[in-house]
Amino acid sequence: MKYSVKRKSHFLVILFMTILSVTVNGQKIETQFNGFGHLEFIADYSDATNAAFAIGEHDFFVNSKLSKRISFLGEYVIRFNGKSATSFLPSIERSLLKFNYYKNHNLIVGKIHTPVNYWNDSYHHGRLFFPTIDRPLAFSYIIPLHTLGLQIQGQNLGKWNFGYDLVVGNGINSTDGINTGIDFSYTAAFHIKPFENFRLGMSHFYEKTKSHNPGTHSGHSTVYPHYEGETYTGPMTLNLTSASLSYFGNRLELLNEASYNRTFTDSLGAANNWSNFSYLGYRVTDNSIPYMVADFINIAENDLYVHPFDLLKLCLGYRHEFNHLLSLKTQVEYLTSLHQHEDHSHVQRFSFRVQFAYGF
Amino acid sequence: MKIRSLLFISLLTLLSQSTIAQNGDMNNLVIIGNNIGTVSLKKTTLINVLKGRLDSWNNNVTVKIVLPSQKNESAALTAKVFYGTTVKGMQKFWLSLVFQGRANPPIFLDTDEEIIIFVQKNPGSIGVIHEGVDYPKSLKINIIN
Repeated sequence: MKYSVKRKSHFLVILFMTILSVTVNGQKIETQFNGFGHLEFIADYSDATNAAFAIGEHDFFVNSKLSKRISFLGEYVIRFNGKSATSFLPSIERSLLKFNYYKNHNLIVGKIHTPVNYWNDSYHHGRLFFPTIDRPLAFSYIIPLHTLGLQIQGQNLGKWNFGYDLVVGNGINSTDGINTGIDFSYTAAFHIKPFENFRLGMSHFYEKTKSHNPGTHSGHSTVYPHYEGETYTGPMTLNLTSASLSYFGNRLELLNEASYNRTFTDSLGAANNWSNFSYLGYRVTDNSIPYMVADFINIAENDLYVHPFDLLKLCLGYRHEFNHLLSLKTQVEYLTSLHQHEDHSHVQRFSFRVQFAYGF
Repeated sequence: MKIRSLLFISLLTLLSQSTIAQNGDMNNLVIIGNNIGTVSLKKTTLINVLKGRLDSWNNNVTVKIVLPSQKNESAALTAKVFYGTTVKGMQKFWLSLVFQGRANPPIFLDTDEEIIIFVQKNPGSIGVIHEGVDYPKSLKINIIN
């Protein structure tokens, strides 16, 4: 029986590979595969000193044109997870069908990165494209990273290259397969690119949930790293307004991501949270970019979404781009929480980090 | 107040310097196209097309971009004239744009002959080749400054 199952699985794997190779060969020009990954060295200095080498996310990307008007995009990530038997877990980060129905207007269905800001809409899981080693702090707490649903998108419209993204999808309580109730999330995002390499955008994300039980779509879907108390599971209204300004010129690089998050619960009322990430880099030579980062997040005392918290991160870094497929980043960081909160671990540490990011 | 003004002016200067990117000599390049709904394009429109900002032409045919690959001698000039950067910079631009999901990938071909054949066979395609290469004149797209 075991033998038969094994043979069957081998047969299926061979069949799948054959179909895949035939399909790829048949559409050689229309299908593009890429891989992205990163390796890191991290040394933390706080109460204790820790240092380690780490394998980062490994990202498999496919873009395929299925017909004249329809294309498919998929992004599949394998990342370290200590709870997994193999220490790694796979995930589908993006999987979408895009229908170009009229000129620069598209209808998209599938799992996307919620287009609330420049970073989430541009860099996804490709560390090669990140200007720094990490995402902004807000991405671990208040940014709803993913949405599984329907998106209407327009881009590069008119003289100012106006773009819009309107999204309705599963709420943050849902997973990729199950949504309890009918709590949908709604996102409206707009941007302009009035001159080369510059983009200015704003967005609003709204959701009203009957219960608070974050699933795989939310920004803080794993654990609350800072919070040691009891988690709130009651009804909640979430509003997130974001503004992004980016300029990546031949020399100067600027990125600012600001977010204002207002949560409302019957028990503690409205809580006002906010975050701001600022990046400034300058391309000294074609390959060398020193940079600095100031990143801050503040969660209000009466917030039941993320729970009271604040964190400030200051970085000095250097990025060396060997070519368009390989970069080395080094970063010295200072991370601190300015205030003490109930059920909140106080943070203060220096870190030194090195990251190789690559694509192929 | 003076410091603020100085900072603002410095920032604008830096931005404007970086923005003046597309400055190579276009005379050494020829634009060819097949069924793109026009026989002439403004230079600004052409740059927008080659930067993946147009999904379909006015005749509703899907845009297909064909560019010289790194092996092609026109690659460096194409990158400089239309992307204001190096060949690596142009490749990174496309890798990033496709990864964002905001454009379909262009086709990179090694020789001008391959580019011409591709454009001939594919309606909606637009390509860049080097001046002096033989090509069917019906494919030529005139560029208006």
